[in-house]
Amino acid sequence: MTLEQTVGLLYLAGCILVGLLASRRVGTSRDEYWVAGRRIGTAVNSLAIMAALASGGSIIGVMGLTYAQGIPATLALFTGAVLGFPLASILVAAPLRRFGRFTITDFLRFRYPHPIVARFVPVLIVVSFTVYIVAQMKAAGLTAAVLLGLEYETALTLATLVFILYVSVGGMLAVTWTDVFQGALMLLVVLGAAGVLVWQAGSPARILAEATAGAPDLATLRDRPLTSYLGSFVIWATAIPVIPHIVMRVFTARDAQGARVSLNVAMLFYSLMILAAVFAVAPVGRVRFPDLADADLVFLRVMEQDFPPLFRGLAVAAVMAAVMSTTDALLLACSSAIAHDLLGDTLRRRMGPAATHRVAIASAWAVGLVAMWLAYSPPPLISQFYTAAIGLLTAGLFVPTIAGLWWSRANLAGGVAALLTGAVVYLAVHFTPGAPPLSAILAALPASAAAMWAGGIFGRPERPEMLAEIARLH
Amino acid sequence: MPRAFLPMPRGDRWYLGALVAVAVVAFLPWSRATVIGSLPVFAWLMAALMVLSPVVALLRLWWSRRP
Repeated sequence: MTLEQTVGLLYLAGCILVGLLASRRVGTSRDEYWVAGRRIGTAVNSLAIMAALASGGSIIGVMGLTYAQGIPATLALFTGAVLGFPLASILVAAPLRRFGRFTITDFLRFRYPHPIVARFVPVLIVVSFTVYIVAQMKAAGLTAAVLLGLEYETALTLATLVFILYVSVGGMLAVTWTDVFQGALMLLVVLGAAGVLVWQAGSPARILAEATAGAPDLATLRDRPLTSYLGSFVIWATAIPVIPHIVMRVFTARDAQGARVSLNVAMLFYSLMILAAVFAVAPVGRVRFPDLADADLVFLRVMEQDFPPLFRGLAVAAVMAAVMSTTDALLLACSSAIAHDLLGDTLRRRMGPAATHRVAIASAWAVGLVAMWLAYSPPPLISQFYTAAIGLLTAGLFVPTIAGLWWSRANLAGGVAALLTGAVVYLAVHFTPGAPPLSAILAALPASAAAMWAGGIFGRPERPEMLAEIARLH
Repeated sequence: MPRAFLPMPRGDRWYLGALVAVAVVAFLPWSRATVIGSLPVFAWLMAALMVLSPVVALLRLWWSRRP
């Protein structure tokens, strides 16, 4: 067994051990399983939030996108995600933390008590997150195949079984413990790799100058219309405040102030990692490997050529960490969407907390295995692929959530109309032949806002008790 | 008659407004056509937003907690 394989396997074994240890503390408590008892401190939560957002797309995908579509296009997409954090910090962190439940669906069905909201939101979450998970699994499979010499399918199966196991038994506590370690590992490897490459070149400016001289298209916006770049920026800026696996982390914070600080520190970590990837690692890879068939391989090829076995082993673990830290949070969000949002009331009424817990575990396995099956035929350019799925979720949830927290005229009619209109318009535009990739959000969000406005103006005004409750959250 | 929007602290309003303004400027045509140091201004503005927005937000939070 090579050193890289040993490091990779030790890492996977460590994750399982953490899941088993966490499961002993979690028991069948809903508070412990879904939100880790709401006692996660600011420093730990910052790394965990960063790790939850920084997926395989933020290591493998960001460099693949830079390689294929250039630095400006990549920054448009990932800066959107960074700007989403201040939006989340200001618009949702404090009121949702004071709301004090478990999921974004809990808030939406409280604010808009209607069966459509209670059923459609969890379904939307499961569908879009399953697509997101497929993209993560491709990153895990590629990494292990290239750096460990395993078959893609074998690597995919192994990684999937490990993270489903520790998420399903350990819940949010296992996800938090592993995310902290995984976040630190990602920062170490990406910043470390970028530092070594900058040291070899002499300065970041020299890397940039050499790369753009050798590959001028790296520095230009090309291929796609402006609406496509703007769309990717808007999707992520509006996704972060409502995306369930980030919102669940807000619920784990000790208090509202802790939630706001955690979001901003996480954003700083995330920015540093993305900029190191975009300005150092990807340009070096583009110059050294100009003819890669799959752009998502560029980071792995640079690791393979420039770094010793121990660092390559850490790189495998870091990409696995990136994949797992997001996928575990996504799986937990899917599990909560099924076992808590969709079936929770019925299960608790008829079968008790132990049965609900078993359904949560079974849901994590079901979603994980379906995503693994889909990932055996992986999509190209994972960042773009999962961004489209997140766009669907954002198109449905952003306006009802923000208006529900901040607009006094937001009411049941407006909330339901905004939710359905956003999702339907997004799908209609996305699948229209000739529509620029990722631009559907630019039509879906205004349509959703218009539906909310119409419902708020022409529908029955909201009850004073509900408005008083919302005011209390602020 | 309740207010249409719930009140937001003035600092938060200015901060959000500034972020949106920089993003709008970044997507204007000139910033994609003007090149500085091998990259369009658009890319530099995006990179600046990535670094400055968390730093400013943290400074604001730190400032607001001062006695």
